[in-house]
Amino acid sequence: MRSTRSWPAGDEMTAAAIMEAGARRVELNRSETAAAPVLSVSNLSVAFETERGRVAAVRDVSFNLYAGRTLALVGESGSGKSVTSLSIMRLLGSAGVIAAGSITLATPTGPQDLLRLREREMRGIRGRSISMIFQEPMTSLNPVLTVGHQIAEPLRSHLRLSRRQARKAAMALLDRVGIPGSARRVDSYAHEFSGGMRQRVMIAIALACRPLVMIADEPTTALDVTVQAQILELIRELQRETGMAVLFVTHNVGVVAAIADRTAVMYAGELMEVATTAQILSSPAHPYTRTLLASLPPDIDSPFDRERQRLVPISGQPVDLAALPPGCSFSPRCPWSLRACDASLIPLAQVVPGRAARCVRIGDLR
Amino acid sequence: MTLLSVRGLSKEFVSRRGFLRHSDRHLALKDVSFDLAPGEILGLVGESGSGKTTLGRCVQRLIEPSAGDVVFDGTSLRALPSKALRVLRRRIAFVFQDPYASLNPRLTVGRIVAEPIEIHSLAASRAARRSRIKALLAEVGLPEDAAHRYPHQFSGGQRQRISIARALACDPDLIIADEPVSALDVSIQAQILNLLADLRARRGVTMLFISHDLEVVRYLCDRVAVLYRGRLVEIGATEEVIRRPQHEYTRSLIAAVPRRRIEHLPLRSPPAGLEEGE
Repeated sequence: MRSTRSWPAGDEMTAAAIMEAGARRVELNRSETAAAPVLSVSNLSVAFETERGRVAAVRDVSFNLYAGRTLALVGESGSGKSVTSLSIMRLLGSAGVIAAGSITLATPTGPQDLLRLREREMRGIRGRSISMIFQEPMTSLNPVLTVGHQIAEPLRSHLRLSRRQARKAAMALLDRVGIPGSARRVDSYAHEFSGGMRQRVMIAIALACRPLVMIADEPTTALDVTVQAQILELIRELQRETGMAVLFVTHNVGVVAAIADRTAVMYAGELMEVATTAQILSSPAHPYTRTLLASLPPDIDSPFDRERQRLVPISGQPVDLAALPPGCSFSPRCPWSLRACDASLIPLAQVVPGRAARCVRIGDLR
Repeated sequence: MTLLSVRGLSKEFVSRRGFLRHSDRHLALKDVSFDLAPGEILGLVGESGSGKTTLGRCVQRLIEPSAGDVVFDGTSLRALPSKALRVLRRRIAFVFQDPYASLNPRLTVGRIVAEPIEIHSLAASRAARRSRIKALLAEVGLPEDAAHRYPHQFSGGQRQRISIARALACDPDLIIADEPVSALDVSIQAQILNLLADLRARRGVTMLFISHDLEVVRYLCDRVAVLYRGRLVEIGATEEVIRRPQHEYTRSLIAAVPRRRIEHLPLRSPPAGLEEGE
């Protein structure tokens, strides 16, 4: 079975070549009933060697990504959300150590644990099966190569397209991500584009080989709100067309509402709560999620009385990863904390089917 | 009554580039005018490149405007001699966006807060200065021993408290806060916004609050001015502007703010089968 949708490609042959690459994933594409995850992160723990000793940046994180669905990873700085996404790409650098866990990608030849792949094999995954876009499109793009060259690169190396085919495909991709005048723009350099247009170029590169999974790490944080809205819409559209799974990393709860089916809330390297985005926003279960949402200024459409209403900040300071509390890492700031919270590590437990939280008081806080 | 009056302010930046040094002209501010009453907080919103930071800096003449005037408490800054300007600058304080870049890492917090007091000779004695620093740190919610520590020993939110203590050191009449909470985590952002709201209530401080975040502006500001490509396209009471925006650009800015309310969510059921937490 082939996907009926295709890129509005200018060149038949090129379009066919891209489709070929996309065909790998079509079996997994948007089957609502027997969904198996495209990517499974299981019990991932990541530590960094620092001057102050080994610091646990990510602890026991598990989640699944499904075709055609978006999972948001929300958290503040130091929560481990970016470390998690870099671990999937195996781009942690030498200071980061993956201490435990597995990251399983469902490929046509069967499941593959990315953490067991050799670097050379991993290079065949990056940009082909899993691609990533970052916050700063300027620093992620090479300033001395044309954007056309950079979009063509994964097509040439992964899919072995000829120079001419890859160039045509690059133009088609520029068209698709909404960059006007692709025939001309394909030969432009990154500095000739605005921030939003650069992020569109990044998305074109990420999508070139029609990956199974796209990881977007704060892709709209550096952009103005009007541009942000356009980029979010573009990612949604492209996901509908290609059926890719998206892992969307952000600190912005409003952006989560706009893009994610499900949301995982991270604090101090742990998943505190996982649920549908609607559940997270309308009835947050974990005290951290509750206090985080309560600390935000009111939604722009909600009624608000400046004379009377005050924000309710989360008390205390962000947790020090080098000096984690023995039990719940949010306990020192939690208004509902009990002695039991500090006794030992709290497991992520089911609240209702499909919904989990890491809190001993989940039962009596409802 | 008016504390600050900005009249027809324009700023043109000229950059010379290339072999023949062609000059590139960029009009960052075009004929901007508004008044600020004592005790009022005016939000200045706009996207990157709209001129909001340039405007904030022109008010204190950190950047020389190309045209127009700034009148502060009845005194025109345009032709003010540098000595008089320095005296007047004492009454206008800044809080910047990045609490990591705007504090000298080699000075203790006590020294950072003491500096404006010394420069403007505001304390009669060493003891007077010390008690003043102590009071300032307490006012912004920092522990007493903070004075002996260095900026790197504090978190982002606490550093922004240090910046605010420094801004308050000279008892300013006007604070220009340029994206003071944009670099902070959301849980910390609320603490700093409440602190700014308290300062207004307690000290009646007037503030020009520069931000790209409409929700934050709505929380703090009495009025809001919208800048678009260097022009002030709309100004009015915050709630009025948000409820009934008059300018097309303001409308698109408000429409683009991501909503957290559930009615706006794309309702898609999670796929059946494996779920997290099972």
